Amino acid sequence: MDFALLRDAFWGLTFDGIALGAIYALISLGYTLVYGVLRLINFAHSEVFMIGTFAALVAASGIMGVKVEDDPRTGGSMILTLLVCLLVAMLASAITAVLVEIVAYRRLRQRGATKLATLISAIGVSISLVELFRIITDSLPREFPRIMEKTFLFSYAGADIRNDKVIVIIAAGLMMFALERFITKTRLGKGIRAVSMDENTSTLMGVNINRVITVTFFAGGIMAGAAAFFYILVYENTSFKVGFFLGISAFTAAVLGGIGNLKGALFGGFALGLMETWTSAVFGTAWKAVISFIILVLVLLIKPTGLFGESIQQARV
Amino acid sequence: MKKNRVLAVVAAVAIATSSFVAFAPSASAACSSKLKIAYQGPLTGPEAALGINELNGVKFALKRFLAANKSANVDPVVYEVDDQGDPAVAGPIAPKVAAEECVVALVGPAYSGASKVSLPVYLSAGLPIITPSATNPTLPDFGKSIFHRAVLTDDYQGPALARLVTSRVKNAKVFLVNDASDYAVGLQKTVDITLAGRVVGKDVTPTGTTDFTATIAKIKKSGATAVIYSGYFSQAAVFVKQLRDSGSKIVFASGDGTLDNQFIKLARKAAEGVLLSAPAIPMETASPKLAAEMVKAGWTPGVYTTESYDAANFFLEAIKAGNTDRASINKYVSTKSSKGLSKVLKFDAQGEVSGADVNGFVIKNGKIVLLGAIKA
Amino acid sequence: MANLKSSLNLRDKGAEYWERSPKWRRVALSIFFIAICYALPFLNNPLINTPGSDFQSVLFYPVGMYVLMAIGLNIVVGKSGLLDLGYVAFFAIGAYTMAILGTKTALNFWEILPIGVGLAMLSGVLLGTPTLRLRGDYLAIVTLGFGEIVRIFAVNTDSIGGSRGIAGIPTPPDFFNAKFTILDPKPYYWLLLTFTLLIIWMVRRMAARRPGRAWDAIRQDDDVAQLMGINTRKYKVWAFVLGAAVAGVGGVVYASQILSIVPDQFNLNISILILACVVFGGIGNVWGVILGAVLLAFTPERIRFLSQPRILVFGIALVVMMNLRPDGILPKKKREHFDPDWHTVEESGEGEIK
Repeated sequence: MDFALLRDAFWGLTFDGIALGAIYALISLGYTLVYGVLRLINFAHSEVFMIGTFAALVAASGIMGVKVEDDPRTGGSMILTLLVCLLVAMLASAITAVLVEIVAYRRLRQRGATKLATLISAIGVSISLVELFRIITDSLPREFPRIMEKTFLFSYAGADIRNDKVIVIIAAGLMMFALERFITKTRLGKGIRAVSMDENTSTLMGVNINRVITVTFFAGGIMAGAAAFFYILVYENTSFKVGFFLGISAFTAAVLGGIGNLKGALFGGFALGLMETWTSAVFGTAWKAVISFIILVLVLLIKPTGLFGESIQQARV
Repeated sequence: MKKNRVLAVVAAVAIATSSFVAFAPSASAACSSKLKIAYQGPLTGPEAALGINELNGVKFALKRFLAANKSANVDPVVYEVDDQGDPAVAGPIAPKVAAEECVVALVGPAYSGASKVSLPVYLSAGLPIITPSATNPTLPDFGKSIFHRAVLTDDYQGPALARLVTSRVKNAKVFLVNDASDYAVGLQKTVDITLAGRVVGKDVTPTGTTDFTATIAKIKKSGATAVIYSGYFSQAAVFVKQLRDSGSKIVFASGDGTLDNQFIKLARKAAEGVLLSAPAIPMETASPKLAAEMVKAGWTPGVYTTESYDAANFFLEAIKAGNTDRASINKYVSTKSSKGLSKVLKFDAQGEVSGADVNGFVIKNGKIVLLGAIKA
Repeated sequence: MANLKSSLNLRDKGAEYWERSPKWRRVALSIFFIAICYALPFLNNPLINTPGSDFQSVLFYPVGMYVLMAIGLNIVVGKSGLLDLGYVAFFAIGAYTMAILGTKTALNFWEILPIGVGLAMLSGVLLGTPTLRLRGDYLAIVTLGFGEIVRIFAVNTDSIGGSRGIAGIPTPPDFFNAKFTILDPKPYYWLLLTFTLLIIWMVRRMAARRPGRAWDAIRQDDDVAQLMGINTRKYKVWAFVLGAAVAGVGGVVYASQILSIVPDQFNLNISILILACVVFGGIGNVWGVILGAVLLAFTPERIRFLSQPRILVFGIALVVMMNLRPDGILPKKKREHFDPDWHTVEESGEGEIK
C-alpha cells in the first residue's frame, strides 16, 4: 500500500480520474436511460460504444483523410476534423443503439417476454457484434491518428493539466447538460420521463411508447458515441474488445449511482473514475477492479438502490 | 402417436447403423491420402493475432515447399487447430488431432497453457511437435520425446532483457511492470533476479488496462531511469504512448511479446528508441526478400512468423527426406538439424534448441533494428 | 399456423405423454434414456459427432459440464428468480480446491470432493447473506463483481500459482475397472453423468417439497411471499448455496480431468454462457435447461468447421432463437398464469409428493 503516492501526486491523479470518469459517465448514461424506460440492463451497450470508436476512426481516415503518420493538425482544420469525428461517432453509435433495440428488444417486448429472455437476446447481439468486428479487424487493435497535439496547459500543485483531457471534461459536461435539458424540457424528453414513471399510464395518456423507446436508445447511443470519440482522442487506439472492459466499469458506475437515475449515472461515473485512479495508486493497478467492486457492495448494502436511488425523475412504482 | 413411434424407431436404427459405419474404418491407422502439417494456436478469440502470425508462417513455408517440390505427397492446406490459446478449449481438441492419421507433424501449440493440456495427448499418439512460441520452461516435462521448441525459454530471455537495459543505461534504476499474464509474470521474475538491487518499483497492469495514469505516477515518483514492461504489444503501445505523453523520456524496454510491427504502428512516435529483446527475429530482419514475397502472397509477417516458418520447414525437410509417418519424422527432427531463417534448429535431449541467442532490438525511424545477440 | 404452434409445444406434449403412461412405461423409459446417456461416448456417428474436436472429450467438457452447471444455476435463477452473473466463481472455487489440495496434500479426489463442495457452499453463504436483500439487477452486478474478484484474486496471488495457475493435478484413483487418465475422457464423463443424475433427482425432490414452493412464491412475488410467512431470506440463501454446491462439484471434477488450471479459464464469459443455457433451454424447467446446455455447448463444437465465423453464427443463433421462443425451447409450464388443471400436472406428473 502506497498512501504516500496518493498524497504526493493527488492532484495529478484526481485530474486524470475526472477525465476517465467523464467517459464512464457518458457511457453509463446510456445504461441508465434504457434501464429507466425498459427496466432492463442493455448488455449490448458496450458494443454501441465499441462501434463508436471504430466510426471515429473511419471518419478521421476516410472522410477527413488524416493519415496515421501525419503531423497533428492545427487551427480550423483541426477543429473541423475533431467535430466531424465526434459527429460521425455519435451518429454511428446512435444508429447502432436503435438497431439493437429493434433486433434484440422490440419483438420480445411486444410479446411480453421475461427480463431474462431479453437479457440473453441482448447478450447474443453483443457477442455477434464483438465477433463481427474481431473478424473485420483481424483481431488486431487499431490506431487512431493524432489530430491534436497534446500539450500541457499549466501545472497545478504538481498536476500537469493536459489539453485533450480538459477538452474531454468540458465537452462531456456540455453533453450531459444538453441531455438534461432534453429530458426535462422537450416533448420527447417528457415522454421518456413519463414512460419511466409508468409505462401503462403513459400509453393511456397518448404517449407513443415505441417512439419513446427508440428515442431513448438513440439518446443513449449519442452519449456512448461521444464517449467513444473522447476515449479514442485520449487513448488513441481501439480494438474489438474495448467495449467489454469499459462497459463493465460504466455499468458499475450506473449501479453505484442508482441505475435509472441520470444524476446517479453522472455521479457514479465520476466517482468510479476517481476511485479507480486513486486505488490504482494505493493498492496497485491489479487490484483496482476488486476495490471498486467492494466499494460498490458496501454502498449497496447501505443504500440498496444505489447512492441516488432508482428512476429517471423522482420515484417509480 | 403411432407415427411418432415409427419415427423414433427409424431414428434409433439410423443412429445405430451409422455408429457402426463410423467405427469400421478406424481399424487401420496408416494414412491413405496426402500427409498433413497441422498448426495449433489461437485462431479465433482475443489472442488470435499471434496465432494468425504463426499460421501465416506455416502456410508460407508450405506454399514455397510445394512450389519447389511439385510431386511431394503433402496436402497444400494446413490442418488448422484453433485452441483460442485457452487450455479449456484445447482439452477436447487435442485427442481429435491425435486421431487424425494423416496429420504427421504439428507446429505449435502457440501458448504454454494450452500446451500443458495438449502435449500429454500428443505424446501418447507419438505426434511430433515444434512449438514456435510457447516459452514456459517446464513444457518438456509434459511433452517428453515429441516435444521440440524453436525458441529459447523465458529463463534465457529475462536475464538477456535485463542486460540489454543495463548495458545501454548507465546506473539504471529500473521500474518493472507486467500484464499479469502467465508469460509476463514468468519473464519478469527472471528479469527481477538479474537486476537484483536496481529495481526501484513494480506494478501490475492486467490485460485490458487502458489507463496507466497511476502506474506512470508511481514511475515518476520512484525516480526510475528505465521501465521494463513484460506483456504483449497492444497494451505495451498504449502504455508507452501514455508514458511519453506524460512528458517522461526514460528508457522503455520490453520482451518478445512486444516485438511486432503492430507495436510501432500503434505507438508511432512513442515507439522510437524502445528497446526489445526476443528469442525470435522478425521476418523483415531475418530476410527482407522473403518478407516481401510473403506480403505479396497476401500474408503479413508478425512476431514468431519466422520461427513457425522455420518449424514448418524442418518438418517438410523430414518429409522430403522420405519420412512419411509420425515416428520417423519425430526421429528426424530430434536428431538432424535444419538451417532456418532465425537460427539453425538443432534440438537437445529435452527438445530445446541449442546454440541460439536472445537478440536485442531497438526501434529507430519506425523500424525494428537488430542490435545483435545480447552478450552474457 | 396455429396448428404448427401447438405441435411445437414439446413441453406439454411430453408431459401429457408422461402423465398418461402407466408406471411400468415410465420406469422403462427412464431406464432407456439413462442407458442412452451412459452409452453416448460410443455413439460417435456422423449425425452427432464433432469434426474438429474429440467427441468423447466434448461430451465431458463442455457438454456435460455445462449441463451440470446449468442445472445448478437453474436452482438460483430458474427456481428462486435470483439473477446470478458470477456463477463461475463457485466453479473456480471447486476447481482450485481440487488443484491446491491435490498437489499439496496426500488427499485423493474422493476426499477432496466434499471439501471443495463445502468451500463453494461456504462462499455461497458469505456472498449470499449480505447481498441477497438486493433486488434483481443490483444482485446481478454484485454477483458479477464477485466472479471477477475471485478470478483477479487468483491471478494476483502467487501462493496459488498466480496467472500460471496450478499444474500436475492428480487424477481420481481407479474406480473398480474405470481408470482415470488424460487420454480417456469416458470415465470422467460417466462420473459427471452420475453426479448430474443424482443432482437432478435431488432438485426434483426439493422442488416438490416445501423449499420448492417457497422458491416459487419468492420468484413470483418476493413481498407477498414474505407476507405469507415465508422466510424469504433463508430460502434465497439456500437456493444460492445449493447452486454453489453444484458448481463446486463441477469444479472439482473438471480440475481432476484437465490436470492444469489457470485463472483465466474462470472468466465472466462462462457465467454468461451458463445463464444463456438456462434461459435458452427454458428457465425453471430442468429438462429444458439440460437441452439448452447441450445445444449451446455442443453447437460451437459441431460447427467448428466454420472456423472464423463460428462464434458469430452462435451469437446470431442466440438472438434468433430468443426472438422465436422467448420462453426457451422447453419452457416451464406456466403455473403463474391461472391454469385450472395445474394440480393434475403437478401431482400425477411429478409423482413424488406423496
